[in-house]
Amino acid sequence: MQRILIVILLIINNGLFGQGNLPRAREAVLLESSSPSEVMVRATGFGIDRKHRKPKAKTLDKSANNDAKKTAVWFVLFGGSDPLLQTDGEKQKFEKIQEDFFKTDNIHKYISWEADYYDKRLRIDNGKMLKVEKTFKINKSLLEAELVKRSIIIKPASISKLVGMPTIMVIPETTGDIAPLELLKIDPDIKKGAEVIESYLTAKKYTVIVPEQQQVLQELTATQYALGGVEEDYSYLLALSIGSDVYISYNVFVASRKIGSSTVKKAVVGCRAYETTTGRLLGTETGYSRERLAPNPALIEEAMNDAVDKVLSRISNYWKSDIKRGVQYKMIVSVSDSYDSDEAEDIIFKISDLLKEIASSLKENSVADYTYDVLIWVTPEQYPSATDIYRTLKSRYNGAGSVKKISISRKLILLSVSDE
Amino acid sequence: MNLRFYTIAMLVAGFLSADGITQTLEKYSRKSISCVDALLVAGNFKLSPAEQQYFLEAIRAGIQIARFDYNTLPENIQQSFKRQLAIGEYTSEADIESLINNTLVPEIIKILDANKEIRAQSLVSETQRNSFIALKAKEIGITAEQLEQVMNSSYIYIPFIDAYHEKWSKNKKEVDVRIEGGLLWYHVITAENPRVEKFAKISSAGTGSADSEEDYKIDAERVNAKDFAFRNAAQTLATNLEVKIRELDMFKLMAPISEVYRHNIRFPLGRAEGIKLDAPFFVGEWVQADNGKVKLEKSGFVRVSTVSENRRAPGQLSQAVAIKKGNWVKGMMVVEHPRLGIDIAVKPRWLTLKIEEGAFQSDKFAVGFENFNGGVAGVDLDFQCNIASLTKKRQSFLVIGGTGAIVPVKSRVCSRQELFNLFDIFKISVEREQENSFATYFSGHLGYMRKFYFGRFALHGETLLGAQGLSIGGKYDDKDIRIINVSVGGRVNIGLEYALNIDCNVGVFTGYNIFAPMNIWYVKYDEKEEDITNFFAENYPKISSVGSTLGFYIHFSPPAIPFNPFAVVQKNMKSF
Repeated sequence: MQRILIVILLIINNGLFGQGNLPRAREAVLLESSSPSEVMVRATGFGIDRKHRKPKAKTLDKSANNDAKKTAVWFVLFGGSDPLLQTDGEKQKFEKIQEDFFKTDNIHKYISWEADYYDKRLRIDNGKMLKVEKTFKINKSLLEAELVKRSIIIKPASISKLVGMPTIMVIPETTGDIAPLELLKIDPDIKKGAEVIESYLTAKKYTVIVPEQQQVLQELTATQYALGGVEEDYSYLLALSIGSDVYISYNVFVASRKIGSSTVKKAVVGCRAYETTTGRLLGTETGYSRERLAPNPALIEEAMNDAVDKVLSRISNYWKSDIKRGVQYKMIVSVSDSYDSDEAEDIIFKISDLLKEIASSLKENSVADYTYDVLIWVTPEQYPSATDIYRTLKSRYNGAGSVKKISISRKLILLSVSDE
Repeated sequence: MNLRFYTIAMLVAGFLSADGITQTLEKYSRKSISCVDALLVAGNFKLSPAEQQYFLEAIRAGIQIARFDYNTLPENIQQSFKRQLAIGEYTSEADIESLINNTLVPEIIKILDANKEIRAQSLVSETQRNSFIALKAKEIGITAEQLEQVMNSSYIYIPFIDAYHEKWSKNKKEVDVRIEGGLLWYHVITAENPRVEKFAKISSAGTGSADSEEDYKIDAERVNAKDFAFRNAAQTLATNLEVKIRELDMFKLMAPISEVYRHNIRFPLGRAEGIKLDAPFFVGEWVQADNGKVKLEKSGFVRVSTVSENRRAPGQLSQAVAIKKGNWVKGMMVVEHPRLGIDIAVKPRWLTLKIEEGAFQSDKFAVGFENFNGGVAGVDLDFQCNIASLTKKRQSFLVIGGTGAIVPVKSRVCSRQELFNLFDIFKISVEREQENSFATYFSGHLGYMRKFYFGRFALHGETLLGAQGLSIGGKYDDKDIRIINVSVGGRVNIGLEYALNIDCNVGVFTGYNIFAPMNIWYVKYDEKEEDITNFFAENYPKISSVGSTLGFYIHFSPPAIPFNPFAVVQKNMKSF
């Protein structure tokens, strides 16, 4: 009877803890994104001692400490709202190597700092188990690079060498009373916000476009003209004009209060990423700093670090899935009203047929009597730039009138069809 | 009777509290303390302003401990508080609370506000020091929570005396003073409605004795017997209260262990928190019971062997040596075990004593002693005051104590004529005589002791110098007679002890007594001292104690004692 009981207990024990090298605790919380490559995580670890009937403190401690390290790395891989492994495919691939990956020796490589002291240390389960909480800094970039090296995840840049990483524009949100570019000049908090995002983006090897007043205004006017029916959104228009793949808009708010005679402040930032061609929201995140005695720039950076890392993760995921279809362009074709509606319809059909030949994928936004608004994805090897698309379209078009360009930017192709 | 009762009660209470459990998971964080020069006197007795002032100073000095920051209240605010208190309208604890709220709290909040940013620096955690705000933004990283923690970690105490006894002997020569009192502790709440909330009342007692025929000097000041007794009692009370304060959960030192190396552990406490060499700490870990409650499970204890200078370099680690070593690892907790630093040792022992037959006479009677040469059973009672902070040597003690024993030696007091006629004082029965079959042996000693721990075992060696006495007494001609022989000498002891627990050691010891015979006699008859001379050709009795001694040893470290012979010494050791 006793033997049966022992066997049952062993089975239960194995069921609970027989996870090989995988972490047992899997409880962690993200404390901050310390830098573009590091995140600070507080992780729980469970320590067990299978060898001794009365667990040895040293064994429990070592086991709990290692488990906390594994949990911290596990959290970056799987936990939170923006883990490194996002798709089922990635997770399935990782499952094959997880036993090997979670070996303690391997895990150490990704820990750039660990606290000297536990945040919490508690013996539980009648003293048989040790639960610890400890803070670690995980080198997320190194972890990502290792996953890419092991072909678990694909780096966006490696999908298409010709396309590379998306181009991102960073612009503050405004209420409409004041232009965002003006806001960048007059509000140092807003400027700091842009700097932090730009710093993050460049560190992650994204191409960043900093809008400059002179360069964009004329383009903006043309775009605005072409999109006459579209609700006036300065950021959207600006992104289209400049030709970024994605644009990030953000806002900054610094709240303050008094504790005695000291003023403590807390920065709150909102960060939104949009697909430029459609204005589709890719991700939004709010970041908070701790409430501190510190100047605004430090607080804004702390809050922005909190938000932008997650938003970038979503941009990266978007890009990874979108780039498989090719490079995306928004094309608006305006047919001259000198044609009657039937003629205009024929012209639009012909343009549509041509685009289906050129593009690997196509999505129509709107088809009006005289306007054709469409998204196309083309292979970058065949059409490295927007001009190539225009040239091909122009040369192959054999309908009424001729295709002319109104404006071509990196993401937006504005064309007209007219007799002239 | 009273003194004995309180001593026993305190020792028992201390023994029971040796395994007390605290329920805070965090490392000790500094608290700030305010005090006011006001004394609550609750009872039908009066103290002079000078006595009140001395008492307040003794309390203030007694509880001035390094783990606290002090908020010094402006003199005018203190005076205002004292004046209002003196009016006598504030009699209940609620009244006093209200008075503190109205007069002191606004001022305390101002002081806290002015100092909070500096004090909050000590709360910045290791994680914060490694976060973005410290590493990249180069900011200290103090958070609003930490400022609020500083603002809400403030306390104020009001001393009180609720009993005062002054007892003179019948002949008005000796005076005993006993003071019972304590501290009312309030927590300063700095929320929207700033106020204080009482959270503890701690009390203790102190006694002091003095002889009016002696000259006394205390704190470099000549004082009379009553003042000396009062001051000793006040110092004793203050020392006892200091231990009681350190026993309060929110004031108790605790920290995680940083390193375990063989029998040594290191932990992040030091001079900034006021820890001292040899201070005892429990080691344990937090364990969650089935009912969800968390308690500290102790697995051994240590004594501090190196105190870190963490006032200038925060983060420095102190070291302690395991006495009872458990299965320890980094991350477990050390928890302070507040004690006076005085061990009371009881040492039943066997000592050799030699008395050579002899006699002497005064003009009223003659005294004779028989031969005695052999061992007697005695008991030492020692107070061992840890002076490691002074000597910078671990486990060094100043010892004050005494020995008592009964010696089965025959002695006789009879008239000179009878003795002269009979010439054999021990064989002939006479009419007027006082015959004793026993004499009382006593000695007092002062010395230095060192201990060397090897795990739970310790070797100790001590050198004592002192005086011994052999006393007989009784009635002669219906009048009291007391005859004492005195000699001075010394003793060396070595012993082996075993630590039963953090407060109690037991062991054995052996030593050598050197108290040579001395012809120093103190003879008192009918309350008057008598001069003595040789009895014809007879020698004086020669009383000596030269030879080996051995015995058992038990010591106990109490949390409080009603009479503290080292109170003044300890007060002066505070700065070391």
